[in-house]
Amino acid sequence: MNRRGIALLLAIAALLGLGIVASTGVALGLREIALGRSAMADAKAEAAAEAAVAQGFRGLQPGSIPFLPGDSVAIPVPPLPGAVVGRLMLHALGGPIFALRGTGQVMGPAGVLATVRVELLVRLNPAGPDSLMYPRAITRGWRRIP
Amino acid sequence: MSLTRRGFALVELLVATLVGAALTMLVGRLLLESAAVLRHRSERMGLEHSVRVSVGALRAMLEPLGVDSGSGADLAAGGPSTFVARIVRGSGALCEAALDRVLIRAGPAWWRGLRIPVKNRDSLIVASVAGSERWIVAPLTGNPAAGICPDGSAALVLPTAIAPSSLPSLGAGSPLQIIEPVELRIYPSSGAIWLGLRLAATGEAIQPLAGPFAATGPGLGYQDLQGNPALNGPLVAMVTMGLDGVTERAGGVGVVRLGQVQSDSVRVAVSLRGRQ
Repeated sequence: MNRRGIALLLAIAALLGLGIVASTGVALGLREIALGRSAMADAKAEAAAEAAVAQGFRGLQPGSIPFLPGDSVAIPVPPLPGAVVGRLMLHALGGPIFALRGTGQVMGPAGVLATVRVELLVRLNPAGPDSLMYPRAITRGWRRIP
Repeated sequence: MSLTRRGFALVELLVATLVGAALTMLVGRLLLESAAVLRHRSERMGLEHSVRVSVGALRAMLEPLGVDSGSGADLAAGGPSTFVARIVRGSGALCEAALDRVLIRAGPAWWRGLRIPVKNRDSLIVASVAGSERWIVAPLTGNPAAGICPDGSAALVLPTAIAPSSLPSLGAGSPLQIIEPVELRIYPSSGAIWLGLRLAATGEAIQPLAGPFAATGPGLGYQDLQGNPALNGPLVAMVTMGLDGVTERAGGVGVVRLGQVQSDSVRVAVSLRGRQ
């Protein structure tokens, strides 16, 4: 009777130990996969945000420029390949200073996988011969918005 | 009858003991091997985390930096194992400027800061809104306080001392950054190489950020716009860093040990976006 009880206890303890080791291994593996996917999605989102900001340098219609500090206007961004979305806002800071704020998002089956926002401060030059206003990047004007 | 039963019990006990011992050895070996694999994976993840943190920290520190004729270079000094740079702790836009204070617009759409600016530790760097682009550096002479912009919106008042010659070029819309000098250093400690940060203004000791690394890494390098080596701060347009990461230990204690230290390496080049 005692031998049977000890054997059962030993078997349960061994199975428990193996179960803990196996589940920890699976958890570590899943975490590593999630970290890799997250890093990749973050890089894609950052590239999309930068692409959106670059779109602002293709020229802006003078009629669409916000005037008062705090006013914003959305600048159209062409669709990006894959499940990646880029958006661009032009934000008036005052005088000729504006902020181009680009947002990049990577979409997954369950929603947004990663979002990155970057800002580039610019000065808007007067409209040129093509009637478009072209921004000029300000030194130290780039930052990644947390 | 009873004697036969006792003999059978003795044989049964011996067989059960042998089988039990064999099973225990088998399970123990499996457990030890599994523990070693887990230790290996855990150490490997720690190593990769150190590499990621190193790259992320270098990018976050260096990418926003720049140089201009008014305020000089944000990357003040550099060497193969250390540099000091002005790190941005917050940024916003002015709504008013005076000789003894500047008002920045408050609110999440305007002001983004890691923390509240601190007197004698942080400085201000402000860009002109009129005329050609020029940045000026000014001290933060007092603690921030709440205020009101001329247009009635909420503001944060930062006491400072603006040079009278610079004041006419500042005004509503001037970009402002709160900056703090921070030293990044690759330093030896406890038989390994570590990456650490130090707040230069407070004189604090170096704080470890990531590691350990092997002494074989090439460390920090500096290049100008043409890709040539640059040791002068204003000329630096790109900073390179090479680190050879190692696991913190060969793995485990006692019988659960890994055979060798694992290694990985990272080589990264970060462009100063304000120096293009």
